Amino acid sequence: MTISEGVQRLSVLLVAVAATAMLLTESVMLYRYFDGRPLLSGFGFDVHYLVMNSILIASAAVLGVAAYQSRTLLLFIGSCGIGSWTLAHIYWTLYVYLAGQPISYPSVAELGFQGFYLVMIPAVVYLQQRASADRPVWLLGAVVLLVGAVVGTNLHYGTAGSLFVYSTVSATLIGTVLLFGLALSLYTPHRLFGAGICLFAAADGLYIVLAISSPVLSVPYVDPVWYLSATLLTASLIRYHREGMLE
Amino acid sequence: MMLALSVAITVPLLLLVLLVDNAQTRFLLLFFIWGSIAGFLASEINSELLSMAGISLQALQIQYAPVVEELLKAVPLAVLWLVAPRYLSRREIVFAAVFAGFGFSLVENFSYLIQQQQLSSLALTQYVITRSVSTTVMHGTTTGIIGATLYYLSGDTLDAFGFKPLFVLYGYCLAVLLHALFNIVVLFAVLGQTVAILSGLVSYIVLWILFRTRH
Repeated sequence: MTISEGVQRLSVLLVAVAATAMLLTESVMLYRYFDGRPLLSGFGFDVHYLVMNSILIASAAVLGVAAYQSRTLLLFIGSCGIGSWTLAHIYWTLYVYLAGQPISYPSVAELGFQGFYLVMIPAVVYLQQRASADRPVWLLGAVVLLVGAVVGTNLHYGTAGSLFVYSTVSATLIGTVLLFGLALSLYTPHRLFGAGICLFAAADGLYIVLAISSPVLSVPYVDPVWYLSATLLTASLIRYHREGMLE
Repeated sequence: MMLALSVAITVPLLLLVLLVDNAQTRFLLLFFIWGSIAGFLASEINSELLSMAGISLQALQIQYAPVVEELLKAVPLAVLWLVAPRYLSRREIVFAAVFAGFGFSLVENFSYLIQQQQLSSLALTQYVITRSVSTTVMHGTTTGIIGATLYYLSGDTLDAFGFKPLFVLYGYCLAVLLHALFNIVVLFAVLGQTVAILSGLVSYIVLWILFRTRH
């Protein structure tokens, strides 16, 4: 079973669109920041969320179609992961419009955000096993560092209870994926996928560390990293399949 | 009220279960019965959350209720996973999960119906139809997702990937998220109801195609 030429082109086009949107958004935010104004205007936020959610939906859908055409489980799992994160972000966005402010961390949306990591852990381990590359021991430090940063931030701000437990569990999941993502990009031919995973996990890790001190948090300057990395994951998996690297 | 509703649905169905010969029908009916019991249990827990935890009704609807309700509806699936996993490899488990969701929704629909007594007969009928094609299908779909996850995990489809408990957790997370997303969409005055009905109908068509084409 093969993935059609159209789907492959669409996946590359998505990366280009996401990269352009990222450059434009970050430029506007940087300009406004130095101009002493809020990062985005009301209208700017509307456009930003529309672009972000559209790109995320397109990434999950393109990968889903590719999984259907190729009957490849790894692609389907990737689509489920991005899909789960996308649904959570749509929920998060709707809450902003309903309540006029971001939902307090941790919320039910985290189940969707962490759902991405729940299915990505098996996916990255599977890819690394197929690449027959040994997992470098020093990379365990990435997990320890992230979990340490989260626990340290929790202790610094004196947080306890569900926030402490939730942020630590999330950091462990994210750190594990980050570790394997680094290993994939450094020691296997799956570099693009590894880079996408690392970007995604780093953005989520940063969000959690920031959310501990300020639970009602919006991070428009990090948002583009998520949608760009989602398109990278989609395009890379489709490319690997077409090049026979997933056989 | 919810206890009485739950008993009113459960007892006749339990009597039916004793009469029915076909094992598959009995299996499905038992899941439906559990769904209606779960409806009662969920309303009790949600009421406690409202009164004791001091959360608002809106926060309950869009944050806490989906977590509680999806957990309760999936109890028989979890029991089967632990006690008799061989049942999970049968296709009926996905139907059974949908039945549990529908059973849950039936009790919930009746409870809302009773609270809307000020409405005219026509408005009540419209209200019930709206809930039946949206909320009921949503409940069936979300529990069905957990059932389908367990069904596919019980086979050898995902053996190459390992980490099977993570996929189970993912199924539950996805079910809760879809439920919460549905509940938040309904709160939007302009297009909320329309989107809810459309999503219910689309979900039902997808379920129908999946179940019919695989036979």
